[in-house]
Amino acid sequence: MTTQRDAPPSIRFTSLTVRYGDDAVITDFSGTIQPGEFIAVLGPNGAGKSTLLKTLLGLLKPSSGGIEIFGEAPRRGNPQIGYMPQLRSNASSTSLSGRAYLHAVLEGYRWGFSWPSSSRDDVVLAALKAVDAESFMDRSFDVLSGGERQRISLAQALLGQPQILLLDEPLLNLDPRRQGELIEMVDSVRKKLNVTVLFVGHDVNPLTQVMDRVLYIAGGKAALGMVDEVINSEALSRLYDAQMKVIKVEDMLFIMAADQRTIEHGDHFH
Amino acid sequence: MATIFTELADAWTYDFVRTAFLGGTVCAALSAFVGYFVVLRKMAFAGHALGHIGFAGACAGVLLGWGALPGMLALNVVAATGMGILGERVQKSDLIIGMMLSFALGMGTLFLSLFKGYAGQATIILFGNIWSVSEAQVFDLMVLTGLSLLVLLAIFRPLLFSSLEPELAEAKGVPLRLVSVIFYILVAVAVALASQIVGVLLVFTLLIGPPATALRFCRTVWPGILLSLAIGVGVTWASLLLAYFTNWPVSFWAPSLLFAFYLLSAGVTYRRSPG
Ligand SMILES: Nc1ncnc2c1ncn2[C@@H]1O[C@H](COP(=O)(O)OP(=O)(O)OP(=O)(O)O)[C@@H](O)[C@H]1O
Ligand SMILES: [Mg+2]
Repeated sequence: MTTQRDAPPSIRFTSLTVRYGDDAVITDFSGTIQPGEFIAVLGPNGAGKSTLLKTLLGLLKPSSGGIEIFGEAPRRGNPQIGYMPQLRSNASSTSLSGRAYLHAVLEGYRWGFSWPSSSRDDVVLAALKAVDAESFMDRSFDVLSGGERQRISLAQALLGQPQILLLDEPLLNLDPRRQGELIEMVDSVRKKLNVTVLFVGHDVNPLTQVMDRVLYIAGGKAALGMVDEVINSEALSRLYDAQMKVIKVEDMLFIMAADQRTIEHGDHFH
Repeated sequence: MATIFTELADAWTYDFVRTAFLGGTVCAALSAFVGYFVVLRKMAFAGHALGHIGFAGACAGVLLGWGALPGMLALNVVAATGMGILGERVQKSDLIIGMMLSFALGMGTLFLSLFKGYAGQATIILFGNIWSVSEAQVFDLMVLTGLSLLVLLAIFRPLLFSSLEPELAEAKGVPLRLVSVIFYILVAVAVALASQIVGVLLVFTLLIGPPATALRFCRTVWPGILLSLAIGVGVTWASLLLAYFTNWPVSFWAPSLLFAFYLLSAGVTYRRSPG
């Protein structure tokens, strides 16, 4: 990594535990993430990936332990963070255009109202250009394809030049080619602006080329490390509390539950 | 042609015509503006329900001697606060709203049966009578509209943001519940005012019709709101004129015009984007 050692870490977790009621989603997790790192956040459905992002956003308080973001506790409205929520169908069924949507997000947290202005137009346009969305930015949101919506949503996360990007399943609904393009897009933004990226996904394989490390969540526990350290049979068996098997085929990783012989990751696109 | 203009000029000399136009304009404008967000947030049914709850409020107001509008405003604001606090759950649960709505109608019927002059009052509350609005009442309508518009502009950005992307808005620091409660109260006021023109049964017309049509045409926010205002106010003026000359009720003309307008716009946009 190119970062100086004395710069404060982007994110530091110290014995973090997050619960909903009595259910622990993440238990006693520690680790640091440096500025400009690309972290793949992986784990099965319901593992707690979105929950981890919500904790970073300050929407959820840790039950114990803590998180520091550039040395400070998470808080809602932190302008250093750009967030792309997990796509829900009702949020995007509006007939407004992608461009209008970005205008609504930009300074949407401030009271009062604003008339259209050319300086805001420029900011919005720059974000749309960064994700190559100019050709469909004036089309109604509800006629856009899933992949186009994802790109508008990514553009929204780039508004305000954040230092950390929290992307919740940005590959959802994308075909393999579009997946590759979107990953490229995120990676180029990261390199240009030295942004820290937490990229939530279900499959490690599309990300292996660009990611630095993996944050794997399963069985109420989390592990952060290089791919080989985290995604191997032993380490995953420890997380899942079950016998897991990692199979490597031509640089592709497949994770299976040893007893059920079902592929845990790698074959499903929702 | 000339006779129409002289008749118009003639009509304009009547006080009741001028007050009706003034009252109709402000009520329609508030409904069209607030309604834009009602449609964006997909809470049309809640707006409809507030009309029926307003019916109970209006009947109670008449019974207590406060008058229909204050009674309606009072009950509507209480109900709206409740809906706003329950927030998303109400929005998603047509069942709860449906129950509240029938309960309110039942209450209204009871209140009505408790005083004399049953039929006349009921008709006015249900179908509105903008011609009978007094100058003092129009002044109240204007003040209420002015205040509501100020509040709406004050919460404009967080309201728009949280209508489109609530989770993200919350992460960015928007107090969702507060915004939602304030907005529900604005809807309650808009519904009460709209019912002055077309009655509680038809508030839907002014609250949903103009913005739904505007949203078909405008993919950006301010042009959409302006078009919604133009349609709402335009239809109200046209209905008042037609009602004046035909003696048919405004509550017939307004929904009919809007429906025709909506069909026309649906036809246009359907042709523009086949499939
Ligand atoms: N508000 C909540 N209250 C109680 N439990 C919750 C709440 N939100 C999430 N959970 C539970 O916490 C667990 C983790 O959920 P989370 O959404 O973080 O999973 P995820 O890893 O993002 O899953 P997916 O891949 O399906 O998006 C799940 O079991 C979920 O049911
Ligand atoms: Mg999730």
